[in-house]
Amino acid sequence: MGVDKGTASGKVHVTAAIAVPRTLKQGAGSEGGGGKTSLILDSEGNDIVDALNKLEAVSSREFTGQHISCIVLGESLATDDISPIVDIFHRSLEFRPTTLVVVCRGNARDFIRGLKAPEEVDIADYLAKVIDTGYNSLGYCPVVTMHDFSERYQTVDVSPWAPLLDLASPTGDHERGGSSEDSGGNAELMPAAIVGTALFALTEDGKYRMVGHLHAEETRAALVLLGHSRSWYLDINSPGDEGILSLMVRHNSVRTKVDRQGDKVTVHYTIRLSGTIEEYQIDPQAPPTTDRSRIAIAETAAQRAQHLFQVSFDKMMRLGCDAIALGRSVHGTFRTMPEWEAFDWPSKLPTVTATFDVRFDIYSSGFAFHRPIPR
Amino acid sequence: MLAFLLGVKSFLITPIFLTAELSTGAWISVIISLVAGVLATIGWLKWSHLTEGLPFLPALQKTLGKPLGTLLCAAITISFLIAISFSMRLFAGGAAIGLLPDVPIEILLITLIAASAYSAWAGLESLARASTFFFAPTVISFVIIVVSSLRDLDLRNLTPLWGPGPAEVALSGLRLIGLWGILPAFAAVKTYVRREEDLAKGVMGGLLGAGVTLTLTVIAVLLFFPYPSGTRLTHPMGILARSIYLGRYVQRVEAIFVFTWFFPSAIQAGFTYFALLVFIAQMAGTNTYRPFLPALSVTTFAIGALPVSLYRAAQLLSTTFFDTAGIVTICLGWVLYVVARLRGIKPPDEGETEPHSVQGSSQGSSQDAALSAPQEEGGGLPALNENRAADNSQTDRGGDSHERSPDSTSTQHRIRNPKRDSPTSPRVLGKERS
Repeated sequence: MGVDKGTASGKVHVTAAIAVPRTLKQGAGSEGGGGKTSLILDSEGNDIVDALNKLEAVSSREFTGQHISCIVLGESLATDDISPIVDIFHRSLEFRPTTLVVVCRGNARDFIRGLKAPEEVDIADYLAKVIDTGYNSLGYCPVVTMHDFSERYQTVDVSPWAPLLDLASPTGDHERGGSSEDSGGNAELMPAAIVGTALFALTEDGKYRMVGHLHAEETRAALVLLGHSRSWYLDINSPGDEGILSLMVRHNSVRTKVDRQGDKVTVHYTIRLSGTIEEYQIDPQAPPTTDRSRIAIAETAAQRAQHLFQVSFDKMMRLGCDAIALGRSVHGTFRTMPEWEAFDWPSKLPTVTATFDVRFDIYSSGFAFHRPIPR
Repeated sequence: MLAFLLGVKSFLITPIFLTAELSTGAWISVIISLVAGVLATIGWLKWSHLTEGLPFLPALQKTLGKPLGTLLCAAITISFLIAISFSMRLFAGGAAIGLLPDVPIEILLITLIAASAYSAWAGLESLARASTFFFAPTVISFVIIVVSSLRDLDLRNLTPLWGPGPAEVALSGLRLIGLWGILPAFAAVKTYVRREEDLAKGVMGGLLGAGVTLTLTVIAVLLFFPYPSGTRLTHPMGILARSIYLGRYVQRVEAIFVFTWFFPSAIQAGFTYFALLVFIAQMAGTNTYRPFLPALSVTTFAIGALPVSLYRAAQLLSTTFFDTAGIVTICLGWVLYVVARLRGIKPPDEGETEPHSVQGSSQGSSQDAALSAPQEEGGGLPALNENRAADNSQTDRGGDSHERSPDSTSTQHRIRNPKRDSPTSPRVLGKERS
């Protein structure tokens, strides 16, 4: 389900991609974007429920929000005010708090209508898998459910964030033997691409809105700082030559130490990473990796990671978005809740500084010590 | 069963009210209230020991005199009635929100009342068995929900540790002793158990079990719903269950657990009904409590239907019981004990005094009528020995007894030797009187 700002003031525009069970069961080839396996309808209303009720006027079936797998917030709505979304998902029995939240570039209506699900029969499944994969395998974006989103929305010590998606470039993947009528303009349907993570903050006018975003690499760093990181890739300059090394970061641990002197907060992160060199990607002309070179690679990787952490941290603090839940560590330095509430943590974010102690442990992941030598 | 009786409120709205008032210090207040509750319970148990062998009303009359004792029994009965009525309304409201939004609240209320009334009609045994059966699933469901939600758990949500401040947490903890105000309901089975230590063990075990349950639930609510986000929820554990995300193909996890949470509410209501009916039967001097069941059910419905919302019901429960009557009832134990000591009342084995009330036989018969059901251990209730179970094997459960008691001597004899007597059937006692 996509939600945008309505054309009229105070209205919302809802776009729903409704799965067609009969077609899904038959496993019809999906052309995505409103093809056979899903029906895309949209309408405008005073709120989401009102808009969905209007959808039922053109649908043969009664609509239920119990199976909404993903809610897509259009950029226009996200940058304006997200409170209508949070309110309805939290108070209505029908909507589920396990619904994934994403933000898209442009309008959610155009995003959903232009979306192609190249591997799945249903675009809802596809979106959910994109997010799952983006988090688990790449660290490009967090997995944010409506429960997570609303909890962050309601507490001062952590700010909401959500994956930011966009339509990727056309892949040129047309159905073999399909007629142009069947494909119905498939060339314009595109898969989704993860841009990074949208950051939200409470602004001075009392509205919660998107204030910026983290790129994919910055998101990886933020996930590490949050302590929710999975495996991710880190590209570094190969020490001693001009090549690029790709490291697979497999494990990480983070310890946060907060020092608060009055209103000034300083945080020190002790981060330990371990990973492997993707040795099959090393320049074939380069000498085999030795212990000495591993140490150099580890130091370079640590520096690179530290730089990433610093950039990501500074960006979030500058935007006033505590997506990494630093506030939860800071409020532990207060004795009572009234003291914490009087501290007004969101206003202190731009003044927070962080230092990092990063170490990287490299270990070999291949079955062989060096590449085979042709003879 | 006492653990259910007192701890079942954990699954509904009580943790929210506690965190709304005390933020992150709520669980410490619960622990303080539990300690205070234990100390207050000791007073009740000591008084129960002094009046060993006497049912609740005769014991009160013996301690305070007939008018005041009766009045106090009536006051306790009314306060329990109000508390259970509003508790039932809480259940109905929670069921409507969480499960059956299209069903009228009144229907849900009637359903719970009917289930509770039937269990009270059937007797203590069915309640004990139900509590034994549902205790494990309830605990397991709680653990599974917490484990499944570990992704959302953050220990830092418990800080600042003292919430509003140590002084306020401590004072609120003492005031929250009213949470355990329903505990004197154990007096309904006061003379039913053969050994005093079984009663004490059961009551204390139940109180501690309930206290630990409520404490852990408050902690869980704080961990998963960082303050103040959780303070606006109606049933936090249910909402937590709905929020569990274990992947795309594991959904509707709460369906597994919701029934295990609601059935303890029915058990709580059933046992409270039982206690109320016993008290009423004792005050009325009847042989059985069954005739009072319809009136009690109607009254419960009438009171329970008053609040216009779940939230209002919780407020009324807090105002009328937890913050007022509950504090009085739980603290009465020591008052009764002191008065009993001052009046020279001693336990029968220390040189008993004569039964104070002339209504001893009728009191005894009504007590036996109410408690003649065979009983098994469960939910904190003490176990009976086999002889007693065998003696009761053919009596009705909690209702009219049909036949014989092995040793249907006079009530006076029974009181003098409570540990060796078998329960007498009301009909036998009635025949003896005539």
